[in-house]
Amino acid sequence: MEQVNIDHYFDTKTWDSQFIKFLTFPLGKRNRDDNLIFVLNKIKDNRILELYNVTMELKNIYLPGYDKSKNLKRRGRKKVTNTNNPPAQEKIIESIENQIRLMIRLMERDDTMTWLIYPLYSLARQLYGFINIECNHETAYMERCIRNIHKCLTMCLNDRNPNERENKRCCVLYFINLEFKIYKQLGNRDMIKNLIKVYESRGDIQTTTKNKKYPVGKAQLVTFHYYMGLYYGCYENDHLRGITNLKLALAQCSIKFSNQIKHILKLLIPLQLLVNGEIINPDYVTRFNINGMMPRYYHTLILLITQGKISEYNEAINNNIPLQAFILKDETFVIWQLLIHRVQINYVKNKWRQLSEKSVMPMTELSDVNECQLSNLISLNLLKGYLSHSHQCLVLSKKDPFP
Amino acid sequence: MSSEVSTKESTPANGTNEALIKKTLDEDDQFEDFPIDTWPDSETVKAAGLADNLWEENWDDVDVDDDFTANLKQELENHKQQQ
Repeated sequence: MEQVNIDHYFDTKTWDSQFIKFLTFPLGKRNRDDNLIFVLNKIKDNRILELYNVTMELKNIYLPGYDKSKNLKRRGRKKVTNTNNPPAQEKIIESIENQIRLMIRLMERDDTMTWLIYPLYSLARQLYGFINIECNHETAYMERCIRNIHKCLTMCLNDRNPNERENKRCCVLYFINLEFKIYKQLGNRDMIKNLIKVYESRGDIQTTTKNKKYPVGKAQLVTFHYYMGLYYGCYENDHLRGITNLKLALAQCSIKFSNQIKHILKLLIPLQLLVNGEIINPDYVTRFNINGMMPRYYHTLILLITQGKISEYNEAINNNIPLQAFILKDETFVIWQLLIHRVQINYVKNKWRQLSEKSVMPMTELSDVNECQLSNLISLNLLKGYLSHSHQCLVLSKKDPFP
Repeated sequence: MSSEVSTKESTPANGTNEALIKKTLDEDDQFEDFPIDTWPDSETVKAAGLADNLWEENWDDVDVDDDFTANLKQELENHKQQQ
């Protein structure tokens, strides 16, 4: 058995993996014993003592009790009416909430306690993980979880310490990303909007990530830009800002994490096509080792767009249920709907090429689009020209008819 | 028109479609947490040059020959014949 002195961390103002092990516990494991004994020798601060006591009570009483009741249920020795064992769960959640509360108080009172930010983030993740896995992400518990994470975020945002190196605002992304994740899981767009408003009113990405003493890792940066890209690109219709954030996320992402790259590209591909008319290089599948359903659905949609197949495209996004389910689930349905303009443009362009690029095109040649749709394309500046209703033709500009 | 197609696609007889919907819905839609906090600059998409030439003007040279596209074409053809 190895002894770990908790005082040492508070004396040196540093943390390591053993300190994180002291505060947290592995989820979903029956045997949590890792042969470590945590001791607190010197009591120089009552809050540290309280934090120690709450943590040890969780480790020595509530967790073993919870594990024991789960094992009994598994073996069928006990008649259990409520499968989730709420009293034991409640005790564990209360303990983690107490740990978070005590850590926040320690940090608020002492400006040199910024080193506790990452351990606090580990606790916040622990609370979310426990509620998500062990409590079937029950809404009431999830709301409690969000309140606790938000307290951590508020503490960071409200830090007015003039010493930039110790200012806790450098670490807000940890808690913002955690909140993003939960709101996305709950499908609560309003709360994402509120969260971004709070962040943008109090800080910016430059001041909240450039601290050399407590640098924010690339994982947090990529995650933050992904959620900002989702918010602006898919919820707020600020497509350009969405693209900017998603490109930043993609550029900084590690090439080893193809699943995260896939999620970034799921949003970036239709946005880039919508705003800039640019199409992803088809080799992206092998380039980033992308798997799953995305390539087959996106491949089909992109081809229908580039070939200007209006009725097939409408059929695919409105009536093909598996494809529709896919783009609805990934929140890109509205962007693909907006891309109908791009399909119409490509349809007109293909017909124009077939007619040897003549500037006057009879409406009889454009049977898949009506005058209203063409007027719309002209007003959106996707088509340069005018409609002659009396002559039933579309007159295209001789210079750059498809800007 | 569209409701006819939707009903047709939802019937249990259309087993392939049901399986495809299940596969689609089963796919993870959450942006996963990274298992590590950071990585060297040399390991990023940008540094590896994987973002270079990522975007093109068109896909004129791409063949449409995957199963899904073929099935979609077939369904559209059937739908046109029904009309």
